[in-house]
Amino acid sequence: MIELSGVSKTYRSLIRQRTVRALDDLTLSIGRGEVVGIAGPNGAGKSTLISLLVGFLHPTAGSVRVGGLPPRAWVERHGVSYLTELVALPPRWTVDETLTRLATLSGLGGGERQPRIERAVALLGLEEHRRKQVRQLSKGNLQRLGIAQALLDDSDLVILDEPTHGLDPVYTQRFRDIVAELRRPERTILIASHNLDELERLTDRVAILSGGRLQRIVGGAADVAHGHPVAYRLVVAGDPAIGDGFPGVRVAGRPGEWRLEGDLPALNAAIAGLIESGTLVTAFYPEESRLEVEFRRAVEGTE
Amino acid sequence: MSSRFPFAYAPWELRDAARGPGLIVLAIAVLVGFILTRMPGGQPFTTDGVVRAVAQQSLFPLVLVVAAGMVGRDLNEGYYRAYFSRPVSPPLFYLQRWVVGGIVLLLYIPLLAAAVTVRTRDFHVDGAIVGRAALLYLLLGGTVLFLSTLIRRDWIVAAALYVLETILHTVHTQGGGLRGMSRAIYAALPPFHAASLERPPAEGEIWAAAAYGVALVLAGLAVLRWRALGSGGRA
Repeated sequence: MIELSGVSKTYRSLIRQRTVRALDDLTLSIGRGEVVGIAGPNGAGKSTLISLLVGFLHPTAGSVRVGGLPPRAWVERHGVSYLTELVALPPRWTVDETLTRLATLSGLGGGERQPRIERAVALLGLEEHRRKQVRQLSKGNLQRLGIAQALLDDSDLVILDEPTHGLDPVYTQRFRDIVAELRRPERTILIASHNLDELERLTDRVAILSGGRLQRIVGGAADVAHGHPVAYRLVVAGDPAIGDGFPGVRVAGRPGEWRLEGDLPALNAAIAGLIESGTLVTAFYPEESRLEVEFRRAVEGTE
Repeated sequence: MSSRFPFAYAPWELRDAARGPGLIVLAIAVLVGFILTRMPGGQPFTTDGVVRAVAQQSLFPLVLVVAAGMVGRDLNEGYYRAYFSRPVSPPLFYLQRWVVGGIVLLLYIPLLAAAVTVRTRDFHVDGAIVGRAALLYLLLGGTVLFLSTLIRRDWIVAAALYVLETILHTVHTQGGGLRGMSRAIYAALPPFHAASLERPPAEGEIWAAAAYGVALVLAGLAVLRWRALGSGGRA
């Protein structure tokens, strides 16, 4: 569905002759039916990549193809369900008007338009805000409107840039349900986010960008993360002393809540010993997810 | 789902134009009618005469009001991302907006005539005045559309070009003629003088001006087809 081959994008300032390389020799292929995350620190090139995919920017080098076509040709033929990072809509439009206008631009006819609008309004809980102008919406409600307008289209390509930015926990969870509903064999979903936990929950694999380069892909067949020690949190009832009793495990933290670092067999043996000695283990969880570990390594440039 | 030419969106464009420039057009017409009813009797007004005089003074700023920021506003504010992630062609979207703006502007002349009729009791719309208004929109509105695809301050630059062309045309016709660089600039500038209501231009001059206006509009649409709408990842 999406083919990026040797894509670079350089911004040039005409006046100061400054150049900024936002993307550097990026090659990536994303198939139909995939849900792919794009992660990276600020300035990694995530938004530039998305702008290239929607055809709002042209690459300086390399080629971008969506469904075998140049991005703008594909978008003008099929449309993209697109949520931009900074939702920008004319401030005097009401919520209803915004959705009606954009549904009209999507080519939805009268019979099809209103049910789609009603569904999007209901999904995003915008009923009580329908008559409000865009400028009267809070940040979270504006974000919900941004998602609602993206859901109007029934496109085979969904691109969501920082979708949960500004959403409260209720609508963050609602958004996760929406993405699960959006999954279809013929549909490609791209989610760019700083929220690694969210990407890990929602996507099949995550492309990590840093400094404009694709550093690694985590998850699925391309998963390269294995065998590295990962830190875990161990929470126990009471405050039993466990300092020296765990061979092969580095222990830090405080009584009752410990930070353990070591390989999984050593950690399992340590916890088994604790339980045998009568300690009640209340929680054991990785301090960092695998994606977080990979992300940190990619950004820090360490293996 | 394919709607490259957004005909269905035209009523929204018409509504936007009516609520913005349309209200100004209406306000001017009402003001003219009001002033005429307050003027002492006995003065020989004709509908065409008053409409011509008012239009001569007001069409230039009205065209700027209608056309200013037609493309640039969407690009600067980022609204284009919501519009053009949909199956819509940007050149055709803005062509439609430009045409709708022109329709609202052309309604100004009959509105003005209706306002003047309050005093003259003789409703009449002079086709020549409507034609000249259309030509001005084609030239000046086309210039603003073209500039709007490239720069932010489209209407200021267009107004400056209009004033410059008016000065050079005055020197050309009343002075000893133009030479060198000023002659070349005069030849290159849009022939705004052809849309003047003060003197009837030759038919050939009108067609040449119309062709220039069409070329400006087409150039603006070509830029929209060719240029990247975004200027950065988020912008």
